[in-house]
Amino acid sequence: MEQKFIEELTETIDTEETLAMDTVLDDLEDWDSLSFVSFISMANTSYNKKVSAEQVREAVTVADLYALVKG
Amino acid sequence: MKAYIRGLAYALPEQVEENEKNRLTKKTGILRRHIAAEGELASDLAVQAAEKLFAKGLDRSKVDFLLFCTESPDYILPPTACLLQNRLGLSKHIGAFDYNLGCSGFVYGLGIAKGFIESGQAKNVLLITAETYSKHIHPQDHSTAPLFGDGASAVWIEGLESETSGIRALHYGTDGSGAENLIVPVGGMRNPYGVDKKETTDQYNNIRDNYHLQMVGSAISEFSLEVVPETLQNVLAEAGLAKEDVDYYVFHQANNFMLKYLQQKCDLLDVPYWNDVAEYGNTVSSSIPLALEDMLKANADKILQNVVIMGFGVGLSWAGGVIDLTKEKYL
Repeated sequence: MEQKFIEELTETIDTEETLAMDTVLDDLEDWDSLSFVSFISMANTSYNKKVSAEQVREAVTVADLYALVKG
Repeated sequence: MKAYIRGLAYALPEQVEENEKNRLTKKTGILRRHIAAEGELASDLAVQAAEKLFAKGLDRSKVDFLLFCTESPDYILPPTACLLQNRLGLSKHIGAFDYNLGCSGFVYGLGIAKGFIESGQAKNVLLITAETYSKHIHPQDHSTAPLFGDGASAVWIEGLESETSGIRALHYGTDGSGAENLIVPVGGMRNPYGVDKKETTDQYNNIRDNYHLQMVGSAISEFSLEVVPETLQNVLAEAGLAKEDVDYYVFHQANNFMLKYLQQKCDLLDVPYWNDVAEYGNTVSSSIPLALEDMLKANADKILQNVVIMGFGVGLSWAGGVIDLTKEKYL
């Protein structure tokens, strides 16, 4: 589940870096406003979760993003 | 009398702007856009699109109603539709008016045309959509400018003797609470020209101000993913169609990634679904008719009796419905 999420996130934000659960989002060059919009759309379509821009803004690591969509 | 689309044409400005080959372009799929020159107005593109339609054999003297959809009018007043009546040499015995809608505007226009035709008030309606968003966007807003292209469409809707209507199962929606997510704040009566300019620069050096288009991209995509699937369900239910009965889905061509998310969310991965923004970008109210004409050309051998269209955007406003394109005779 976590692995699938990481794969999907990598594709969604279109990064060539290797992501892990403890990757800090601000360290990623590709974590920009476009990735923001893409992540919200991904959460909605793939996980059926409505995630607010505020929630995404508060996320520090990949694990924080995962917490927004799991369950 | 039942309303049917009989002909379509579109016009694009000659000037083309290439998008940078960057992350944004890869995501949006928009390679280039047509951009109106200085002094080239939405009404000029409207005239070109309508003349193309007349050149296909549709007789301008038969138009008895003109609808003009734009958010880039020539003036605050008079309505641009009245100027177009004169410029296009249409009869003086026609009704003509503007209406202000964006990406949902084409579907609303078909609904208005259907209303006039099927209530016996008109027989031949000319619906024109035209937009020059490039003039609303700050030239240094590099996150918004690459998304939008200018253009116009002209569509002929005619009343035909028929049991069924060629424009049906229309469903509309409005949510003004989201108005500020896509807005040009200055220029109307609320904030007239001359008010102080409020400029912001983001971390990527994109400049926006209250005299230009301000878009909250995340809010708009969230809204689209919310309303489009629900409206689609309502349209299909009213039309009595299963997903696979539909010959083509032609949604507002916002950008590649939004169209892909919507396709996934609406569970339309295995059905004919139009997604082609590479050459035009988001042309606002013209995006659906533009896509329809391209789709018709690419599917000349297909019977396109049930085509689902869906527009969504500024307002916030949305609308969807089913159109029958088998009476389209002038391509």
